[in-house]
Amino acid sequence: MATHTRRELDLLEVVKRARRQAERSGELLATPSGRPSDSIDPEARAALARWAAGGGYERALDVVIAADPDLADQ
Amino acid sequence: MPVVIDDHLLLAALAGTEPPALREAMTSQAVYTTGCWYYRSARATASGAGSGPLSGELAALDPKRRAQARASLERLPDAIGLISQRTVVPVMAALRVQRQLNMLNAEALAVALVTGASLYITVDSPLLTAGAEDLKLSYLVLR
Repeated sequence: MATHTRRELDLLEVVKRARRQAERSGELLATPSGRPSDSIDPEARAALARWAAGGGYERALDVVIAADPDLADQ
Repeated sequence: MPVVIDDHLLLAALAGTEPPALREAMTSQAVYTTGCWYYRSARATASGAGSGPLSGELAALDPKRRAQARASLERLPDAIGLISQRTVVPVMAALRVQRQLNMLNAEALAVALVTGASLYITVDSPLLTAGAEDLKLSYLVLR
């Protein structure tokens, strides 16, 4: 039989409450997401793809992260 | 099982260049991202930071189409779920994992717990993956 520590049980309870809150406020998606790119302007989509493929996103992200450690992966 | 995607996969999903595993998940599951990952991608997309900013890619468009293109990138599509800070912060605060988390990683783990999702990420971050293992969350590193 699985046993849980007090801390695990506390976390489970907090997660249950948060899930109920998310349901009440309509934050949980009821259907599959599909392809969100379908809602993006085709030229914007192509520009975004070129920018990412050329390393533009990585370079911009380095600057963003350098200014805010809470946005870093580590 | 729903999935929570990082900012690189969010960008790929918006550009229509997502990896096959994510494309398959999107057809059958709800896909979420986090506030931090959305903010990271929005900041990087909006800023002129770094060399080769996105504005350079959009420069060839006429002003009206350029404005439309920017607007369509600024707003997160409704198809991507986003859990509010009101809901997720209590879970972030209650997380107990072995390694100290920063805000980005705490939010990712908390959103995965609330939505019952698997994490789809592009960076194999030991901080995040160790936290996921502590919390018995599944994750997949996609390149």
